[in-house]
Amino acid sequence: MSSQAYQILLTNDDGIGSPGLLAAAEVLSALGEVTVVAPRVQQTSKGRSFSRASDGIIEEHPISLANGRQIKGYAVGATPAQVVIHALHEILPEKPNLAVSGINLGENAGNCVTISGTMGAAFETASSGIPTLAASLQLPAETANYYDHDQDIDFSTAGHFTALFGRYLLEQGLPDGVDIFKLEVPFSATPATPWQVTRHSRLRCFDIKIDRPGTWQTSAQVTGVPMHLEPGQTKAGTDLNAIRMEGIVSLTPMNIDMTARVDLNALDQSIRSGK
Amino acid sequence: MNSKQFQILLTNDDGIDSPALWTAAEALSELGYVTVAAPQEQQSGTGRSFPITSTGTIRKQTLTVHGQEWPVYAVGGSPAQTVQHSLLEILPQKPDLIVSGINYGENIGEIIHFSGTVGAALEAASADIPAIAVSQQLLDPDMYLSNSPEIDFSATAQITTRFARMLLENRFPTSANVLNINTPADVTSDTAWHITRLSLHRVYQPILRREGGWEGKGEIGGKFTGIDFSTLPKDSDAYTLYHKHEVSVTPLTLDLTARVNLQELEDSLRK
Repeated sequence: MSSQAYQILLTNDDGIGSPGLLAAAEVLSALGEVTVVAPRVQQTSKGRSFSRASDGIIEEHPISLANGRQIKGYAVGATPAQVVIHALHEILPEKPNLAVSGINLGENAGNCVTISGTMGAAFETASSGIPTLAASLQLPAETANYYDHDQDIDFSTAGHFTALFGRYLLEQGLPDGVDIFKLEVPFSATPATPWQVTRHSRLRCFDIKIDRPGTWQTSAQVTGVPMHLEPGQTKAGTDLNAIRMEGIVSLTPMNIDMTARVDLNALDQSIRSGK
Repeated sequence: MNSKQFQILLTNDDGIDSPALWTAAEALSELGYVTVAAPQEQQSGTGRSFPITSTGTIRKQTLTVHGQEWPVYAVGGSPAQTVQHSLLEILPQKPDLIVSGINYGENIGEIIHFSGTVGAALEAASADIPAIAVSQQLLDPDMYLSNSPEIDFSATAQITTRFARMLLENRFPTSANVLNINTPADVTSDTAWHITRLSLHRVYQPILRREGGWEGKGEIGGKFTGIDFSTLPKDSDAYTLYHKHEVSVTPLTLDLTARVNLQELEDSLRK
């Protein structure tokens, strides 16, 4: 590989042992020099949180590719966003050309993106000005297991699209006004499945369920189950609609800026005048 | 209690023992019935996370504030989880408003992504409940996790109540899902307020402390960098708070779609 090779940081929230991470490492290695820096243990639904309980310990964890090559890998005792900080400050010799977070076990469409650790890592790299791709593979609702590393899940289609948009970011850079590409691949997709640029839906994609076997004084588990969506409930052209209603691949250009898209001056005036 | 009384859920990320939570509870009680449910432990920096390790226990306590008794709920969870326990287990009905705060320390710019105060508000907004996240600037970073009774939050509580009333009486445009309010350290109830946008300058820089090698503990902290705040956009939260020392009110949205022409972007991707 030439010294001009693109530098790619690959991370996730499912942890260093995730088959989705490995699938991304395989396809991205064809595009540049990949360094994998991922949480030591499962960090699903940690958002962009910074936990004071993290130990920050870094262990070398080389990743073996199918062709027998080994690439650099590191496991970090931290949340996804913290892992990114460790990667940028301690592990990588220079700022990478591309950061990829994923491929996540499960969709990250709709407003749950601020809960997602996959997206948390993506917000962190994007805040450092690194072109970022966050990639997720939807899992069938009936059998979804978001925490275990089911090695039987087929990530090849999600890998195909990860490489497609990863290559675009490396060669073209992020379009002006975009901070993150968020990719969602339906579980039924093949490489021939169409893709569409989508809007980010404001709807929830997971219903929160509380499983409390005892009283309030004993522990309870809070989990999310994919929300049942009726036809017409999702807006056409949104990420949620694309993967849940149309079964097509969704690419959402995202901003880290959460300011509401309103005329701020008009809003200011309207409040002051009491209207 | 009047049956038409507004129902308000008050939460935070500094935990049930935060004096700023009490100050907010007292002030908001003039608007309706305030239920206080807050994390049992300090949850600063946890964003909208849902850690699977949370215990989810709920402890009902009674607290006396200025002679008034309040039933309050301490929840073993993150701020966003606390909101869900409140909605699904504690409250008899969906509240009309959720207020998160008053936080010890400002939550501006991209800090809102990992702020537990804002995380609770985003969770409320996701359940279609109007939400306010409110934070008061602190000049001494050592005070962020202190829950110190020495700091006066009463002016911020009054300002919070003013905006809470607007939301409850539907006098606020619905295009915003969350109002993120930040007050300056020297705030009074007369301090001017402005509608602002998030500052995209990274005002809070991560700092890494590690003694020894990678096998040892490495901690990530942060500090506000020496930005010349007068150079920031005049309609930003950072400029309003740090340069003008006035109250910043930022409307936030759950929709993070980039502000670009999507069709043009798609065309350029297909080339």
